Amino acid sequence: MINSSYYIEDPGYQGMKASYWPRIILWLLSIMSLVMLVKSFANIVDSINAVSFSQINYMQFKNALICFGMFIIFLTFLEYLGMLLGGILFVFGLLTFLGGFSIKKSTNHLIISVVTIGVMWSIFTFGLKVILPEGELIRIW
Amino acid sequence: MIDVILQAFASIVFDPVTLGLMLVGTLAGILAGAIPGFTIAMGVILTLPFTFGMTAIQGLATMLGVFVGGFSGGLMSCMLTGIPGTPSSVATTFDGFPLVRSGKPGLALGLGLWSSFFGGMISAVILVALAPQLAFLGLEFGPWDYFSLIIFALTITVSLSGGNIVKGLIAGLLGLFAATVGEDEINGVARFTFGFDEFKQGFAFLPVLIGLFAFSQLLTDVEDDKRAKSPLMEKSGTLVRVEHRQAIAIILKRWINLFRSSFIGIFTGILPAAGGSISNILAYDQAKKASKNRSNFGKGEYDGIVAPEAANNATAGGALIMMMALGIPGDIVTAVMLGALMIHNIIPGPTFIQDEPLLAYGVFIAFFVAHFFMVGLQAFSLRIFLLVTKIPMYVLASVILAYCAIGVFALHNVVFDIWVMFFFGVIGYFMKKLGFPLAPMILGVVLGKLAELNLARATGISDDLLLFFLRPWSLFFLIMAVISVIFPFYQDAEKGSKFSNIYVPASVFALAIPLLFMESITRLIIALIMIGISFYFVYKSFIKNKALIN
Repeated sequence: MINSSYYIEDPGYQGMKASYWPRIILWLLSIMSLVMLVKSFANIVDSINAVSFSQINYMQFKNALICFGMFIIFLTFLEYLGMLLGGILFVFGLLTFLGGFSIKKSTNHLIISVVTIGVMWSIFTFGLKVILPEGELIRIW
Repeated sequence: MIDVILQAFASIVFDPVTLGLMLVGTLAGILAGAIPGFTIAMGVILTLPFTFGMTAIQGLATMLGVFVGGFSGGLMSCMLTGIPGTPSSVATTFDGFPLVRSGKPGLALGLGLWSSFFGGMISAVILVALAPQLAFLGLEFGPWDYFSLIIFALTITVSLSGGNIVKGLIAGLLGLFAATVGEDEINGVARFTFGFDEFKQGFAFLPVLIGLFAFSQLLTDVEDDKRAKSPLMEKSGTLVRVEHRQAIAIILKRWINLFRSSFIGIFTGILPAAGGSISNILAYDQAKKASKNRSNFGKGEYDGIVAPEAANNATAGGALIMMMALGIPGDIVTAVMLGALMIHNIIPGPTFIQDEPLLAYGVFIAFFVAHFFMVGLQAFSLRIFLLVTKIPMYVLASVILAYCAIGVFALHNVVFDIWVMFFFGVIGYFMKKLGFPLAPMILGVVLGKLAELNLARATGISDDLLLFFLRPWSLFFLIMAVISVIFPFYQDAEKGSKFSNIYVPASVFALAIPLLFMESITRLIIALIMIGISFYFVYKSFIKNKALIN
């Protein structure tokens, strides 16, 4: 980023150049990061107690990673599915992954996703007059 | 001025739409404050997308409803279940829960509710009286002073957000850096766009805020599989009848505690980034120190409920004072409100009250009215609270994540904003995991452009950078910034050590110096008093040390 700040265009106007402020921030950021690095080395007194990468419990991030993944899928297909259908599928998928799968649970999850997204979609579309993405699929249909 | 106040009053009280929106906002705030894992800031952030289609005053009134309601919502869960709904009601739990367990739930709720009400009313009066005066003072500020004020706002956020100061500074700088992406406001030159046209507009402030704060919080809430699947509260309490009259009588008898706690709340609110989470504990501590029944604290002492509840609602007024008078957000909630005003092309600053008197006084009136709604809605919201607590967190989080996407899209009608929210949500989540505070980053994003603009104006007027140290107000804020950076070391220092003895008098003395150079007799007198106080502190510690040596 510091390197990139040296390629910011200079239109030649008087006064502060566009690259100055970000460069100040980036240098300060680098100094602070260096201080943190030095401090982290200084704090490792007992290397036996230090946690290696292989000891980190990656399962603690499972639900967060599911949310990330579902959100990326939702955004990628938003253009095709639209906010209404995409939103329902996103909420239903997330509820199923996080809450577990059974016929009773899935029925509840489906009702929750249809009702909540339906209500929100209606409020924004009809109440607040926001034109939400319609989706190519619904347009073709 | 009276006619402006009357007009503002009419625009709120005689407009059924605004009143209705405030009613819904207050109810939503009470619920957001009552649910553990949700914060008032999150409630206000989630309300924001609904306000896009409203007028500026309607939007702000709705958010104020959420803000005020949130503080009182926190007391409901902490009293009935012993779990604080928000960090700003932690101290209320110390005596509120024992009082409920001793068989007086109605009185405990009444004390909390009416203390919140009176605390809010006191801060509302101070808000109306102080904000225009502070704004008048703000008119003296030049770009040098404004830049230094922003630096102070950032450093105090870092020092008060707890934890590692280096991590706090890194978070603040990251926020400032995020604000530089896109075309700069002075020259119109593209920065850090890497060939993407979408980046030219920069990151809109609200998607960044929703991502950093709401999105990352929801991910944290569903992290633990077992907790995510169980209802929000295992013990959700039972319906109780609030003892209004008895509670009011008890509070009015403790008026000194009420006023002291309210002033602590207001002062904490005025400090950038120091919110209700700090003021409620400070007020509780002071109430305990001043009480004759210290041994009763923690066992259901009335003063132990009055102090934190009056303080946390008063904090709201304090935070609003800074936003209205100087355009500097006092906390995350006022940062969101600042964003909401910007959507309506209104930039708060020292001239805001003069330029937009109807809107400014409308905010004051809405803050008053929201407190009445808060009292009126308590019984009804208690019923809804008992229902909501039965919902598992994963259901709530999934629905709100989708709602965040819809809300963010509604801002500019572009999908890129949702990607921005997601990107900053991921950053926020991992920053939290690694122990970085988010508040400095949020403030950095909010104030970044303003800081750059004022720096550019200052250097445009004069090349002399020494002006930052020679102008009294600028020097005053820079000294405050240094004091706030050193503050965490003072907290960690041993009591009685040389450093802890010298910190307070040196700070007071240093702050008095710029006041001496301001052309005002009052400020000169204040400066001399401050110098006197600092010498008194030094003398006191000298006597104490001498006694110890002997």
